[in-house]
Amino acid sequence: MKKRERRLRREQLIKIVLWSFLIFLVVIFLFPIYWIITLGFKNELDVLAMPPTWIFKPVLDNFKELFYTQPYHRYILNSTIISSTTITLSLLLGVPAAYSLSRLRFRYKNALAFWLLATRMTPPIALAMPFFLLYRDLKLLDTHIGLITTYMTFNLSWVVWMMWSFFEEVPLELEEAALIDGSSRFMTFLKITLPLVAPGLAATAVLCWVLAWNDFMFALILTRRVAKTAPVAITIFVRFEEIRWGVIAAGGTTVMTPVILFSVIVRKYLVRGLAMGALKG
Amino acid sequence: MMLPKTSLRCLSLRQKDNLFLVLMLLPCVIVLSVIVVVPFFKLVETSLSSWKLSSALPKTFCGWKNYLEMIHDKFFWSSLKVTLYFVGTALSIEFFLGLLVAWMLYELLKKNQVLTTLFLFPMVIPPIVVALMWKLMYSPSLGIINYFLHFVRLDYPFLGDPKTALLAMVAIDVWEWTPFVMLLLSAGFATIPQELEEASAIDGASRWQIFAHISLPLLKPLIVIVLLLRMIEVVKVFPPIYILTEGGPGVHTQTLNYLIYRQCFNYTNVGYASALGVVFFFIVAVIALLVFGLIRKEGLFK
Repeated sequence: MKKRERRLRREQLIKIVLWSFLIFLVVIFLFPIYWIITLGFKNELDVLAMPPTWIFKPVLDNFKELFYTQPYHRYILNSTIISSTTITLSLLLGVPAAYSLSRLRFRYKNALAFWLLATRMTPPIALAMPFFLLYRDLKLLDTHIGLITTYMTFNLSWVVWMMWSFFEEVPLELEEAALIDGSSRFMTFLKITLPLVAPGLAATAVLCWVLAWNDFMFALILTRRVAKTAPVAITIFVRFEEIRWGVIAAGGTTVMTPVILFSVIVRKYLVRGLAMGALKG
Repeated sequence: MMLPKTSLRCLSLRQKDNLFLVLMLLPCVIVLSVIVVVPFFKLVETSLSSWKLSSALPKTFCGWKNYLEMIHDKFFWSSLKVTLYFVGTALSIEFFLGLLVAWMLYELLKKNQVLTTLFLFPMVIPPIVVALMWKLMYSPSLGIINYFLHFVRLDYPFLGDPKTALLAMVAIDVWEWTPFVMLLLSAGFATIPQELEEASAIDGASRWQIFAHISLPLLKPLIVIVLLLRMIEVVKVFPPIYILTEGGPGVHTQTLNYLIYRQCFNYTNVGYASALGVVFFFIVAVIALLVFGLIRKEGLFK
């Protein structure tokens, strides 16, 4: 009896230690995000205060400066246009292709699959350089269409790869039944298969959108003024004589809010998406 | 008489169906080929030419010259060393920390929706925001990190010292991506059949024994894939280096990726930078090939 009690107490102690370590880690991982968000709402004095002010009255000064001194709404609009066009085109082209790959049998399927993965993983710099040189000749530098095309390289390949793995999980019998009943292949795809992969499709779309929205390097290299995106625009405030931390924090908060919202919505499938299909549902 | 007719009709239907499937695939393959293959050829072609954007000299074909130059370029070798060091340190910390947290989450609460969601944030927020955030936190005068470390007399200009600058970069990567390792491994833990562990527990195996002899071997393929995926991403890290150190002090945080960026867009050595880009591409492609092989072999993805 006593032995059992001692063991129970030990179990409890281990649990308490593990829990406190876990909570400590969560705090560490979330603190920087908390810090930058609150910084955006501090006034000029509090931003530079050392020791830092923990309790303060939130003001919108930084957001005002962000939108008044720079056409920041334009950059956000650019980001929105570019990322939404990218995902629309990638899904329109990629989803049917992925379906077809999961149903067709042909010889070079493996090679094609590897090509898709390799394209997704190609170092951005190895693509950004030739794109820069090509766009210089084609007068596509600093255009929306140029950036969208570039984003399609890694997004389209990724959509096909991801959706392929989702389509593989749909049992063939379901479709065959519909096909035998005389439904056309296209209608079967649209009415039977697509609804079944809807959650996967949503997660793929969100991650695809995040990839385009978050990109920094391509936008830095391929845009100047007209098509500049929001992530690149924040760095303007680093170049000022005295770094405008409050404004940078406000800009950062603005850019990351939609990403955080979207990823919370599809969190369940997000992990699988990030794993490049190395995990099964 | 009936039979051949039906089979003929079936065949033509089958062919029609296949044709339709091919038509669904073609637009995507064509578009992707154009937007990937054209730049790739441009890259290879540029890598074989002597070309500096800022000079008046025209672009000329020069064969392997750029590739030979690499062998004698000490910055190339130092960048490889920095990249290797970066990958080695970041991956080992991310792996051990990620595995530890994944296992803890698994032991404490089998289902962990809220915590999982919280851990998603560091890796989904834009990398440029992460970089800027850490630039502020590392700042010697304003930085919150040195403010805290000041209490234990450990405050230090981390980014200015060659010895700590790269580790500071690693810390950012660890913060941003340990959750990735953790989330994937904890998804892996969830797939381990409960009976296996219960059976071993009844046989008197300790927690540690179950972990080391049952969970870990089962998770091995996933662990390898996760680490390879991380490796591919770590070698491509750009925003923190661009924002925080620009490769400095000296070239102590200049990874291969950043060296290429610099050669191309600061020194306008497009030819040489492209040759470096080709090498970089093949390094990543080899790792991607390993990932691909493993994913197929393990049957994790058909």
